[in-house]
Amino acid sequence: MSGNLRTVTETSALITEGRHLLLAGDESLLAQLPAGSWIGGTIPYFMDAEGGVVTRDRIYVDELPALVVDARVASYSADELSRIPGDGFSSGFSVVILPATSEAHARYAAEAPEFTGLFERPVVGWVSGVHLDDLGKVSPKVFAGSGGSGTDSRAVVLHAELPEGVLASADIVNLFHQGDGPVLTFDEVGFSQGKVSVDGVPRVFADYLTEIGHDVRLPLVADYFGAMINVSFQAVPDDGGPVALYAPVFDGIEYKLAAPVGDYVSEFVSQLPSGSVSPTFSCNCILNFLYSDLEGKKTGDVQGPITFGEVAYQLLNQTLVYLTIHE
Amino acid sequence: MLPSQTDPRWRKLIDQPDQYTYKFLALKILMQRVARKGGARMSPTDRESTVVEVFSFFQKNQALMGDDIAVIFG
Repeated sequence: MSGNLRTVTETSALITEGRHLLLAGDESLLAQLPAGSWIGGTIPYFMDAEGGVVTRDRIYVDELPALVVDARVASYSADELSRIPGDGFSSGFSVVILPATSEAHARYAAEAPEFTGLFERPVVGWVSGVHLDDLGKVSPKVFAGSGGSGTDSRAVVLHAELPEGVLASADIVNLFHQGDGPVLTFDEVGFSQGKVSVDGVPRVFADYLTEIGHDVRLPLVADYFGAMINVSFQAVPDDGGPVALYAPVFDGIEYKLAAPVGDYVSEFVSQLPSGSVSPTFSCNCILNFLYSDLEGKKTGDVQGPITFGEVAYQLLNQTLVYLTIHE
Repeated sequence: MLPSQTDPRWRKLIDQPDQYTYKFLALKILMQRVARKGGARMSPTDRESTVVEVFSFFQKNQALMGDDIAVIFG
């Protein structure tokens, strides 16, 4: 793993040397950085070598390896997101950062699974956020290659080129799997759902969750041919109003509520990639960080930003995403 | 070695994406997209474009997909 926490001065030096960087940190730090081959997003939570860290004083730096022969930095409005797959190099990968709660975030979450060419190369990334004390006061930002490029409305992407014959792959670690409860389906795509079908029987979603006493730390889980894809709960209103989710559910997909997880840290470490795998980039979800009280705790050797959402082709929740380059 | 794009096993894979268990993450998500598009219920045009997409995906990633290729194509 190449990343670690650095000062603005150290990060600026790497940019000036022409390194290709993926950055995460406080807005005030990212805004000081010079122009170069980098993208960044705001977040103060990280998994560093020493364990879970909360800091506004340093920048988390993932430096792409030297075998990345070229990189392009771009930003996209919500209407331009479908261009992301086609803008990548013919051989390589793309890293996307979306500002949380923006239209770009919502549209990518709902539309990316249908993008033409999405699977031409790995697309990984994350959703930028803020310190939880600043929720509602400060908007999450992303940066596209300069300190002056901060925006809370566009997606930023670093498209990386790999030499012929060198491949990258995206993978996930998800502790959750489907429980043995009923099948839940939805009629519409969306982050907000008032109704649910429970084994085919229509119900008010909030009432159903309240009735069964569901622990909302346990997400909805869809089984994508063996890949467990989570949708996390944001809020379940007491008055039977729409349930707010951190990612959209999709019509035509069967969900179940997740089975409980035992000890997060030990289960997580047992599922991490083996020692032969050295991720170029990884990120983990803020909900895992919070629900499992990861501050000061290590989750194996996998490091990176703790995020408001993760991307492995499509938006994910409560999942660790990592990218590996296979030489 | 992948079969040619005209091999009927590609159509079978598109029509019945749930007939195999996959190992490669991108393939799992791609096949979920194929299933959501309707599998065998797709229009002939969609079916053909999906075969092209899936074949291209296998071509690009075959070095990482040995286990899946062995299961699907023997």
